[in-house]
Amino acid sequence: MRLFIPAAEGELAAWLTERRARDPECEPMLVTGSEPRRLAEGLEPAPRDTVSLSGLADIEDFRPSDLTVTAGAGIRVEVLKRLVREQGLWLAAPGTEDSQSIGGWVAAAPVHCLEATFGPVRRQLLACTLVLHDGRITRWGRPVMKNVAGYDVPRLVCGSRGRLGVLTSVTLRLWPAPRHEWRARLSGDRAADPAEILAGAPDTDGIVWRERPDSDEFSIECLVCGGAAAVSSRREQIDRWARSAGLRIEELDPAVDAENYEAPARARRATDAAYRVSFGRSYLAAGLADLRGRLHSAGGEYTLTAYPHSGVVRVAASGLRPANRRRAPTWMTAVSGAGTAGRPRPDALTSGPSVRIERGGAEEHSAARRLRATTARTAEERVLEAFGGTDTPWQAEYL
Amino acid sequence: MSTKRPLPAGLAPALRAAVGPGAVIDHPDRLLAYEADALTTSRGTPDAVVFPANRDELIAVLRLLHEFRFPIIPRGAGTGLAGGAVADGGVIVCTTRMCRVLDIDPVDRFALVEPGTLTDDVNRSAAAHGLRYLPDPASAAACTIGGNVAMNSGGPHCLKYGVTSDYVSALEVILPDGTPVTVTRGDQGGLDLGGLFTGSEGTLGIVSRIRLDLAPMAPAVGAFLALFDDLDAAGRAVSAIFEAGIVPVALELVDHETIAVVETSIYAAGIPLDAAAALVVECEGEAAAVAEDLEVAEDAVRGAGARDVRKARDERERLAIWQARKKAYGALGRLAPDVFVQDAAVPRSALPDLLPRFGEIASRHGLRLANFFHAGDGNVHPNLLFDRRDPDQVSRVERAGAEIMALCVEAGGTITGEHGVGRDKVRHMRLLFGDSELDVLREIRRSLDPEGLLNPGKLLPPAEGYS
Repeated sequence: MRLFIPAAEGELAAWLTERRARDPECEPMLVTGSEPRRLAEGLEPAPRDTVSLSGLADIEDFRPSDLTVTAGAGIRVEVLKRLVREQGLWLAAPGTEDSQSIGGWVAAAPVHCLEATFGPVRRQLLACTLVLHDGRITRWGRPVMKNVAGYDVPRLVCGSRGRLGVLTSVTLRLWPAPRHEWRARLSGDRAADPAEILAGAPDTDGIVWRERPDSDEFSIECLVCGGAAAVSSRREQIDRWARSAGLRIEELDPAVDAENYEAPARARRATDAAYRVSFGRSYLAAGLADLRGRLHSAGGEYTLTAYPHSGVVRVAASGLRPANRRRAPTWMTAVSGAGTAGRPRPDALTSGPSVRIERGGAEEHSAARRLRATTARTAEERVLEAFGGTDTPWQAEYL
Repeated sequence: MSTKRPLPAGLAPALRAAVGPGAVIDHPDRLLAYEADALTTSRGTPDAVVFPANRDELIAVLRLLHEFRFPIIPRGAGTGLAGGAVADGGVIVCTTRMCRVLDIDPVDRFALVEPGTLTDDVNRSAAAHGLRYLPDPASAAACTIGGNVAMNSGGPHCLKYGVTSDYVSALEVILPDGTPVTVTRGDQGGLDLGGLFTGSEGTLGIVSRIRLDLAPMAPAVGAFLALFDDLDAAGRAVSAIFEAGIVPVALELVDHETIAVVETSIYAAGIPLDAAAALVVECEGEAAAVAEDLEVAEDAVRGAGARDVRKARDERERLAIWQARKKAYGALGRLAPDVFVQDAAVPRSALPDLLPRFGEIASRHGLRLANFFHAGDGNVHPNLLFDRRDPDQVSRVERAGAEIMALCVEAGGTITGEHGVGRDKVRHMRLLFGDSELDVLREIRRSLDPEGLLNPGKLLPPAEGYS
């Protein structure tokens, strides 16, 4: 594997231009903000080239009064969060992994637990610099909160996983740091029925259900932030819920336990495949129980992270039997779609499965393509052509 | 302005067969009603207007127009402020008959609607389930969801809650060749094509169904009006509110000119005429949290120099507080027959410098200016008063508007925060985008509309060989 670490976006642009000229068919490459060799292990197809953006990790422009920060894509999210926090501001990226880069965060657009309050990743990105496969440096968006000039390319970039180009710089919106924060962990026996437990959950975001392979318990991690009255009220609601559901409650120190809040990096290392399954709020609990059963039968180990307020579950699996890996996207699709069967007016826009494969090999890769409806895939391929052409897969879908 | 041309032979009867004879307008007198949207300085004459009643008719119309290679201009209620629904020839496809709320799911909190549904109708339907649609464009009583999607509309509450694209979870879009495509936010691992089509100003397709995320009604809402002796202090107060850790749902500023106009009209809200600026601050949430947030915000604005703070004690007073902002356009009508509603977004820190320079530009062009805007997110609306019957005034307004655009971009801002590019601001797009970016944008458009039928002349400046 050839590793390239540009020190400036111009270097990257020149390298991409030369690479394409040298090899128009361009074998797939891996773009990463961190730990390139580890991330490249086991990927199929194996990347011949890996680009690490660890050299583009500076703060380029920080405007606390405007609530914006512009940074190189290779800066670690945790570093950026700490820096803005020192200015009394907050980046809406709870629960990111220690090693994740800001560019990777934007490109992957993972779900987070405070989306109802602060919006998902796509709401945080205001502008970006994208180097296209042919070396063109393109700049999108402005460092302002609202901008409807032209097509919303920053939004398109969020979650695009490197398929449109290489992100070298991002401008993010910031928020005033919460005046108060409260974190707690609730826990119970893993055999419990999620539907019974979650039925009593407060109608609020900031709640994450987690099951790990190394524990007989599930944990529910709660993060509440805001003014004193708002935090106090939510805290009371969570206390009541924990008592009525027979859950153990442990208050956490926000400053100390941040790194354990969501899936730690060590769990990710063991992952063969990761999926994001959207059930919708109404079916999440039942879908979670169904998923558990099937994953247990499929063998291997898994971590489940559920976001009840968003209706989304992330599954990180390792050691699944090969046949089960091939079938997993299909039955996850069926599971996520099962909840819609009882709806009075199923509709093509509202029913139907929603499984996003977030990490995997060739089998998951082809399954991901099968999951997308033909017409949407066609439209997507046309849009991808505008950025670099699908006939030259220079960037593999490292899902 | 263009003049109506006859439709190609066979097209008119085919359109009538597709949507019914009463749903096609091609008489010149009746077409006058469609020569502009809410930007009345930008006019054009369509060759016909067609009103499909449902998805199938929309598909049939687009297939026909594609077959004839005839320009297609999507239109909702015509409330846009950028000339996006103006036609220089071609057929306007108006979605106002497609106005049904198809479904409200109160548990998963979404609404499925047709594009011609009024924004307020979505809210009325959602309210029956204790839900609401959060984006609140000022024209909600008249504008359609399809139009909101096309322009990625905002409104005062987008400071905290975001814009239309934050609430569009899925779209069915009919491409110009009549192909229906369902797009989402990339939930199935693909690109966020929903985010691409939202704000595409009718240049990539026409939406036929929209799934909108809904939110619970806020348990409580409160507001106050802060008065200032100078505009700078009002700007400092906005920053002070954020520094205090508060993100209000709305933060609106009106200047002295606007106060004077409103207070001498039937919309008078009781603001002293000697106030240089007024700030509306609104918070939502549980009652105790709202009270706390407003108290913290009040301390912040007083610390920044507010000379008076008037808190709403009930809903009637809260609505009265909004009077100066929401009735401003109506009041401005007393001063001049026309208002050019400029729209831009800038970093908030640039406002103290920009606001007086807007005034200087207006003054130099012999125009009157009233500023009221979404102070929290830097989305400014310098409103230029004029009479469009006077070509010289129109010319001065256009020159002043161009200078204001250039100034905003130079300050790090953008040429449109929420009204869109349409036809009005195509010429300013090069202030924001270089050749590489424009090439990509044109390629996106060409990839989905290879024949260039949809909304020609809008959004993107032409490249050689493409209009």
